[in-house]
Amino acid sequence: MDEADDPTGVRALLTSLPDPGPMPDDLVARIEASLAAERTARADASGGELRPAAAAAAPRPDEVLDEHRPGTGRIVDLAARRRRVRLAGLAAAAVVVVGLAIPTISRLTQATVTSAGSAAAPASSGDLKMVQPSDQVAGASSQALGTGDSVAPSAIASPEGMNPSVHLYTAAEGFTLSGWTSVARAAISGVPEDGTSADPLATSAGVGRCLAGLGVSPLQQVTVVVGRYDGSGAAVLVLPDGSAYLVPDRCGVAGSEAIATGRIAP
Amino acid sequence: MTADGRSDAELMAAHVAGDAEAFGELFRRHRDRMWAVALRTVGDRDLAADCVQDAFVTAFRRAETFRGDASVSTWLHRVVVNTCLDRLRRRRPTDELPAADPAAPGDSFATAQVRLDVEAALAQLPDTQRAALVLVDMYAVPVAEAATILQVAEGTVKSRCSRGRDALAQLLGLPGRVPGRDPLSDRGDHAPVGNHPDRRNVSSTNPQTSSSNERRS
Repeated sequence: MDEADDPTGVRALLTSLPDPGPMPDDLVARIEASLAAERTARADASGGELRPAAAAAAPRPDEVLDEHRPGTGRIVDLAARRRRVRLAGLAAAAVVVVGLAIPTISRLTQATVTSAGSAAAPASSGDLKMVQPSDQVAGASSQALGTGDSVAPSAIASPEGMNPSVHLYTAAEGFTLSGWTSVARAAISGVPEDGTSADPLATSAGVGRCLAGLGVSPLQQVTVVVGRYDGSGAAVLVLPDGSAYLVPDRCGVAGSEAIATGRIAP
Repeated sequence: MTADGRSDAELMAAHVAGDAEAFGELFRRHRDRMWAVALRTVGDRDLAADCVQDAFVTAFRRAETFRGDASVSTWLHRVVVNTCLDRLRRRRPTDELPAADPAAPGDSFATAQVRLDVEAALAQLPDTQRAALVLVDMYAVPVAEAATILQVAEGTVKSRCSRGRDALAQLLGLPGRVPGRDPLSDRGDHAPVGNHPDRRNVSSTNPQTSSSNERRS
């Protein structure tokens, strides 16, 4: 198609519309304050000193002062606060995991565990993973992404085998539209983080519902990376063929729609 | 001419390396354009403000993912447009269409009326068509660059522009639309995913989007 070929005349009409003008001053101030907070968080994270430009962002009357540093005039760093909360949550989850892991592993090592339909069984007792208390143990195949001997932190399957076997990972950082595949890939290829999640997509049934809504056969093995997207719970579902779906954690509960789709090569 | 003589790419590299000044200069250089694109894409000043703020914060945090395959401007456009589309996608079904800004500086009455008509018609387009039209028609972004920004094939951009123009022509009562085609459909320019609705009811005040049906990465 020739770009200039526009029999409707709409293009000329759109081109003729007046420009909205420069960014409003109040928005400029708002974004500069946000960026200053980001710089502060960045400097804090690196243990370095703030450079003059970052420190020079003077607070405005409509800015919220940091109650933890009264008198400093600093912007509340919501991102850093969220990170702190997230770290606290992870720490709490780790405590829960340890509490669940010890008796679970103890039971597993004392009893004969039969694979519930999965072709691949755990390679050795050293490969025993965290098991959701509400789910039966299934074979913990680690081949969802062709990761060879890499070990999934969690293997879940429904008793009837109607839902996929799920390998669960936790993303180290939030998903973004431009980088969610990288975040998911890093989570999958990195050192697995043992843990459980309250996320609906951390369960075999939840993943099955989501996949069904997406039009994907539920009878598959799926790798799930749970994390956050734009402040809300989200997960990346990776199928054995590398197809990947970034979905909200309500996927399958309140409809099924992918935020984005892509590929994460096996 | 800005006070900082470094190129955008140099500023981005400096930011990644820890230069506290660099990203602020990038913001100063690109803020007006990004604001305009966001406002045109979402059609609402408050939402556009949120989008462009989120986008710049995202760009600040994710600067290390910029590989230099495209220009910094293109990359920033991508972040802004993606943020806008994401916000539009997640807008609750009960949200009403944004109220039009009744007047802009420099508008004559006739110009203002045309602008309001066009903006109202634009608001009824599928989000992905509107984003393509904003880039290609309003801001003369080349199709190839728009494809990079929108992370779709060039043919998809062309298709969306063509359908979007057709839809606007229909909504504005202009002649020249291609007969026999539903311009408000996004079908045909990407593979559907799941059961997400991919069609919008133009008479509804419930704008929906089909943009989640796309392969983005």
